[in-house]
Amino acid sequence: MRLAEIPEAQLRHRLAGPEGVTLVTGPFSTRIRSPVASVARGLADLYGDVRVEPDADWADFHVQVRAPRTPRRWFRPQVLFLSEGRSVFKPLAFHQAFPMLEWGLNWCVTANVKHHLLFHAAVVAREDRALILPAPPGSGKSTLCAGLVASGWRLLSDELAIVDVEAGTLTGLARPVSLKNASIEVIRSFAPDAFVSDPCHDTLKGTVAHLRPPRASVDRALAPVRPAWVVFPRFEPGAETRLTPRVRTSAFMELARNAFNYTVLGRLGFRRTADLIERSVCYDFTYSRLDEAVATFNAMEPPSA
Amino acid sequence: MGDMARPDQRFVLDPAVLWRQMDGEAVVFLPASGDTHRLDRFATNVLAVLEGHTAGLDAETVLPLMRHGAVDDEPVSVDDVAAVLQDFRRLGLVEQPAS
Repeated sequence: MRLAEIPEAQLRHRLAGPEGVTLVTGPFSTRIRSPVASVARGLADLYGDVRVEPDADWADFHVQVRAPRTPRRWFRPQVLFLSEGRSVFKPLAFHQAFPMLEWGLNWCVTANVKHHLLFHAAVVAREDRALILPAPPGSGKSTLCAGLVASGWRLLSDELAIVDVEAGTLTGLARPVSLKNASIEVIRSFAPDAFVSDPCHDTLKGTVAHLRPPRASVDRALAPVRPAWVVFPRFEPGAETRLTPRVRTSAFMELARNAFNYTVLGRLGFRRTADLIERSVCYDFTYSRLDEAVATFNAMEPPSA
Repeated sequence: MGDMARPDQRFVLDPAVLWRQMDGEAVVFLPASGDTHRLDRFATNVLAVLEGHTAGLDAETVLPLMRHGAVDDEPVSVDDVAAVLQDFRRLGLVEQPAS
């Protein structure tokens, strides 16, 4: 059953009640509870194609987004994100409830998942070959990811590369792509048919909006892909589009710096990171024009398997 | 010459260390500390020579084995190798062989 099959009034009712709604995004299930209308609206707008477990009695993560039970409910209201009943972030202004849910869902994975190797990276795929884009915030990673997805690449994630430590393959979440500030209009112009949510202003990251994941990406979220390219993107206003080969050892070190649990996994983390790099061609990439950037990646041939 | 070297100048690769060669360079992982280091081509060649020599090698012994293998064309000296071995010791990649 997809979330879009739940009538919106019923969705709001279930989210506000004790049973919540259990979403399945890639390998993880998350039970979400929230009485906040903007959370229900955001889920309906952006997660419509995502599978829900109607009678789930088990989930990987249990989260809530709700107002604190203090007088602040009425005076400059705030919102909390709770995981397993515990607030994990400082409260935010109430209108930021949906972005807070998105950040919280990322946190659930990075803070709790120990059986996959996790990198801070966007991942998209063509056929079954993955393009991994590790980068810190502000590098243009999500914009590039959204542009590629709007051009037909399969979305795995705009935030997390999830590596199966047994097989060395990547799996996806296919959750909404987070767009910030100027990139919101860039994507609206680049992909006018894509659904981008209403912007939420004045967050810690500025103005944020979300691109709905394509249904095909959602449906194939669990289909594994093999690493093919590791590209370190950097948006630079006015820069020429430039793809520069990077020595694999340098790429390894940079990828490891973008890992969430490389050190925790010890030998296994090292071996799987090395495997991933050895199977990929590695580049630095500088761009300012999204259309040129997308054309560059569309023209790339994957390395032989 | 190597057999005549002072024992404290002979080193073996710490068997716990993991390393992977890529494009002529290497990345190494020290499980005890969780540290990862990147080695240039020269240091990678020294590391490759050390692997498998459980009795320990000193710089004079390593050098001809490197020359026998593939090394950049630049001339190298025993002192260069000795400096790399000391770096390896400082990083915890090598240890003294059991006597």
